[in-house]
Amino acid sequence: MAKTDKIKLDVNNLTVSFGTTQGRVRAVRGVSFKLREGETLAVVGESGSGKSVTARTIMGILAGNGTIDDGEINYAGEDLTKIAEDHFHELRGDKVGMIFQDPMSSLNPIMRIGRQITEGLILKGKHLKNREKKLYHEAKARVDSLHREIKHKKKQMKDKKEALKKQETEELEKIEENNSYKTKSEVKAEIKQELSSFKTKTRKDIQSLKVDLKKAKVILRKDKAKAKKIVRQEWRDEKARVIELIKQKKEEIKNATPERQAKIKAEIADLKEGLRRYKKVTKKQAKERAIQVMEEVGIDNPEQRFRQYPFQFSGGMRQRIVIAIALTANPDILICDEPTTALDVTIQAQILELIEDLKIKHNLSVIFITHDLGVVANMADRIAVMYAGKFVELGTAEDIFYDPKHPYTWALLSSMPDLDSKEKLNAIPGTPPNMLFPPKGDAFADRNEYAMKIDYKKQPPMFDVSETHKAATWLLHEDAPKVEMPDIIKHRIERMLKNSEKEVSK
Amino acid sequence: MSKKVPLLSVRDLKMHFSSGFGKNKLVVKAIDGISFDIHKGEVFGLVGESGCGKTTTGRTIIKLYDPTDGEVYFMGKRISAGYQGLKKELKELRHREDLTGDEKQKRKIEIKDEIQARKQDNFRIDDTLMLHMQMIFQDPIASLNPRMTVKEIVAEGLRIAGFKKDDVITERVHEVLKTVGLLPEHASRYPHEFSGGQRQRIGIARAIVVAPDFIIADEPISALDVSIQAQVMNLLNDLREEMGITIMFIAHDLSVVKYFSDRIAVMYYGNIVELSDSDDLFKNPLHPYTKSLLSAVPLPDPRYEATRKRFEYNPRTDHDYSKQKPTLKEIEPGHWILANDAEIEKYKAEMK
Repeated sequence: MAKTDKIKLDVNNLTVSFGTTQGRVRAVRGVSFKLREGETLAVVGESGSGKSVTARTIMGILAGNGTIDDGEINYAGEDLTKIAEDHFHELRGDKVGMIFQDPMSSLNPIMRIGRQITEGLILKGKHLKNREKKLYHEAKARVDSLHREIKHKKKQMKDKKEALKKQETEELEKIEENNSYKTKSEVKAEIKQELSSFKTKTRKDIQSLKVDLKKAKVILRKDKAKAKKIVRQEWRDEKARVIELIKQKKEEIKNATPERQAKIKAEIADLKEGLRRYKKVTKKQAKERAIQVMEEVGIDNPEQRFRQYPFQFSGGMRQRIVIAIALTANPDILICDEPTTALDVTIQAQILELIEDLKIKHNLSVIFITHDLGVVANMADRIAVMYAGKFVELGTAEDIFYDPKHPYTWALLSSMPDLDSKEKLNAIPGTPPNMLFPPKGDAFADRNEYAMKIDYKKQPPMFDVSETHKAATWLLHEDAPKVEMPDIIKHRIERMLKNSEKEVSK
Repeated sequence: MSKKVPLLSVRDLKMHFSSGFGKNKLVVKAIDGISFDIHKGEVFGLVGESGCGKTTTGRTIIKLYDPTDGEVYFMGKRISAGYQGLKKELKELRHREDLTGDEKQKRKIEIKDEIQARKQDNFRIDDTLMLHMQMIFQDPIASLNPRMTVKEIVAEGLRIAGFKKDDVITERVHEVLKTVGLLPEHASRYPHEFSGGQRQRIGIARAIVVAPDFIIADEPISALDVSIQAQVMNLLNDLREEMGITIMFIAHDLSVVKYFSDRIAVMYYGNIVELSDSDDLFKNPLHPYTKSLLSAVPLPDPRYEATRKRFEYNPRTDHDYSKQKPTLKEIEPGHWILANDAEIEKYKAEMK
């Protein structure tokens, strides 16, 4: 495996919440990880633990009511949480590809497979327009950032106003309870004073920003015009060049043998196609690429399959098409959101092998989301166990499977039978906490038989077990009582290690 | 294994679905001649990839489909039988040359009588007998009527069984809800108010309320979340121990089937290819399809995963059935396998 220490993606303290009528649902609460080049990071957890939301945030496809409250996602020197939607278009798909969970519902049932695979290529393939955009990109980015800053300032003002109002009511209440030495009017005046000074200050800032914005807009307009001119000129030159060539060829045709004539005609057609391809990704070009990708993901007869509808494919084949769509643009990072949950064992094994092959071939970094621990053991270099919007344990595959530390990991491992288990399974009691009201302490405490008093009061930090292995549980604190993992896992790990030793000695 | 009368026995069962007419006629052989027995108190696992006919088998046994051919006996009585095969034989009888005219006539009457008998059996279902067989469905969301309360859903079976007094029914429903780990006050709620695991519990409650002897569990856990899978599995295990229910467990997850079942049948394209004790099957699988299926199971063990090799199964190259068609044969007591004579020899050599 070609693994380097180059970091592809650096997610830092990512916090995401969704606004609902009942309040804010805190789906992701401070997730940090680094994804290295050529590495597979598996994210495991129950449904509703925030796995998919994390992935979707990285792709920039959060639902409309979702907001990123805090944190950053660094990719190639840019913070994906801050860039504009326009710019995100260029990254999404091209750099970060995603395979969705259900191949039934992620394909359009009334659109031919071919069109679905080529759709992205054709949409993104307007070369002239893209070049123009690149030329005035800097000016555009400046305007966008100014817009954002103004918005931010306005929001600050609103927030401040609300905060002061709250403070005012609190202080007034205090006065009514005779706990304060101030009078009502004093308090009101004080707050008013503070508010107005803040307002004038921010208003001034906004004013200056607006002036800047006006200037930036002028520059943008100029740059746009310039870019248009340059690109048009280039296009005209190219066109003239090709037309000239075609003219020459046509001259040649007049006094040539019939065989030669046919050849020249083909050449002319090629030239024309080339010109079209200079302008945009043509349908023909997209089809060529699509068929190449379809072959790569193991679809037989791609030429025929290209014109079929999703219902004519089996589940495994459909998942292959979804993978093909993700691969058309040659992404660096592939996010697989439960790609095999809807498939049965043999097909699952094929798809996993395919993803593994593609990963090595294209040197992809993969984020693999699943709840099947067997699949994880097969695919992952590193594993993150997620619960209630947080990573509770992070380590290499060996760390997590042979030396798990967090009670939740224990519970997950012991809730699934493997081929040798005979004991009663340890089902995790209860349900995950309601993320409208995230618990104050350790989110897993209510369902945890090893929970201590501190678990209900304070969230455990990430304790380092080894260089590669981290876990967020108070059990790892030096003052904590020694707790052994449940017998069922202990036996299983012993058995697994014994088996692997046997393998080695063979 | 006891030599008693099996609780359920399936003989040469076939279920074909046809669509279209004339040139476009297409016959899908979902089950193509399977036979097995299920004994009292055991858990019989049925595995195979999707589309191999596992679910159809379950649904045919409980009479949701009328079988094309073959018979199903439950508690010693024939509950369902198909007669298409006999009809075909009747048609071809005229052209058979190995029989004399008299024999043909005799056979004709025999077949006609048999067809009549089977039709009668299909028509006159013994309701009290069928109540001893219940089914748990795969998808807990689609299999519960959203307009009925939990009590109505669970009590439906009781009403059909002839219970009429409301307080008796309510008491029984509450009892069953407690057994499956729900609360009596849940009875007045609607299915959408429950989580996936709880809904599956309602499905189980509906099945066990009439105190059946035999339950067909059609992938009861594959639509559930990891942690809830364990809860439902433990529940089924408890029920089996406490109530002595015989279960036919249909699933595609091999580690779950292994954990749960006493005997396992492996299905491939409408046929049972191997049937054996679960430990035996996993220790020495003989049929190439079983081997390929076992080699595809990922286990939570990274070192094992790194060395695991998957076998491909290709029915065209792995078997040579040009000389003799395969049948299900008992290679050693309790271990059945689909093979012809040459292959049996090969497998026997492999076992030693």
